[in-house]
Amino acid sequence: MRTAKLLSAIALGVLLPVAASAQCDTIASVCEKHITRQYIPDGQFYRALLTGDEMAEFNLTLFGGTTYRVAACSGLTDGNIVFSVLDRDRNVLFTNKEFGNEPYWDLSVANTIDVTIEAQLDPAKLGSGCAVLLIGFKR
Amino acid sequence: MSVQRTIQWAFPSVLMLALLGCGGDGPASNGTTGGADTLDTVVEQRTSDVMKVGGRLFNVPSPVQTALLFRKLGLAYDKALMLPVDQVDKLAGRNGKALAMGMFGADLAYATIHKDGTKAIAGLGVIERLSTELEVSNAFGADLVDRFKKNVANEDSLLALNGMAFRAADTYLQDNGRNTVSVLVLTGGWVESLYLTVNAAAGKNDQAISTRVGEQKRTLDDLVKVLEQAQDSSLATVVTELKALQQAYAGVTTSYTYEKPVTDPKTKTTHINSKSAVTVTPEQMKAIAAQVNRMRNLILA
Repeated sequence: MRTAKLLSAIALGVLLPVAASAQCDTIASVCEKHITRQYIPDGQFYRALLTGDEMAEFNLTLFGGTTYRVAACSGLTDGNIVFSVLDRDRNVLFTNKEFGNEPYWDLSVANTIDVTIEAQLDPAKLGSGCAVLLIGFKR
Repeated sequence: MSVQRTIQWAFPSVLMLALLGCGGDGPASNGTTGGADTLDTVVEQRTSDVMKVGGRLFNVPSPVQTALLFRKLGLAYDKALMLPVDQVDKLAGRNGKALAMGMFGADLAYATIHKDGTKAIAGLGVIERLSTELEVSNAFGADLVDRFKKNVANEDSLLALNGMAFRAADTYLQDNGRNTVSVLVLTGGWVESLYLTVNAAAGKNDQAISTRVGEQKRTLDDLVKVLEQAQDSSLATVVTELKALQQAYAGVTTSYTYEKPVTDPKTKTTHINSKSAVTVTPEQMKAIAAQVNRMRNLILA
């Protein structure tokens, strides 16, 4: 009995992270549709498992003279993620909260700027899930 | 001062994630903690839970963007700056190969932008070989090479393929808990981009180039932080050299003035008009270039 419990625990410990990764990958493949052909993918994959009001954030340098597309997804439908773009003084440059949780937005950058993107699940829509951010830029 | 801890997921939460596939619908529940770390993500406590994305808290500018800048500035294409493809035979060890994979990726973007299909295909062959040796070959398999060859005359497609392939590699490495390899690939690409930048403009004293070099300061700081967090003794040389580069960057100054952005909901675009400036003196550029050259040689030694 004890061995069975141990084996079950090991199996769960191995399989569940794999399932969580697979979940993120599935969401990423859905999210990729927002990085359309006009945009070159930046070659990186940003993800985090979130529960409740946890917030994922990452630093990004946006180069002047470039238009970036930021796509943020969780679950298999759009609109489950709230994301905001803040400058180094924490001024909010954009938040999709004001636009019905739009899953993607373009940032046209005049001068190079260091920003932080914060992302949270919309608590009215998801209690937990994998948050995926994808970035592309226009030539 | 923030306190960092490894995020611990409650078993029920993870089970729910696994079973629901797309996350739990409905209002957030109060998750408890105390289970297995599932994705090596790290939480930084502030007023609410703030998490580094994928165990990494930053992005590294795409080498493609740097290559595009070269063309915009009309800098001459210099094949000799790129890594010789036979360099790959001299590489030993996982870290060196991961760094080199990123470096060849930057060279691939450089060759693509300058429409050097022969060099690009050769570089892609090396990346494919390195990806196999690093067990990331799903991202750079024969299919990608075929697609690359078929699109060799279409620069847009090649650049998109480059980005997609490196994203696939990044995804695969993160899925398999190999975040250090992932960061080393990014580091290699970043170092090579910087190497191409400082050498393509050597002696030209070009303001746009020195500005772009100066704008890399935060990325450098982030790379050092994340590599230090890995607490991997095999990364000591890389970290030491990046820290030496930080010294060269120490006097680089930046300024920033907030300007209210303008958002156009119709085009789903926000125009960010804040002003920024970076000052890099010629002496600082020389010091940065010297350290970048030294670092690249060490990586390849």
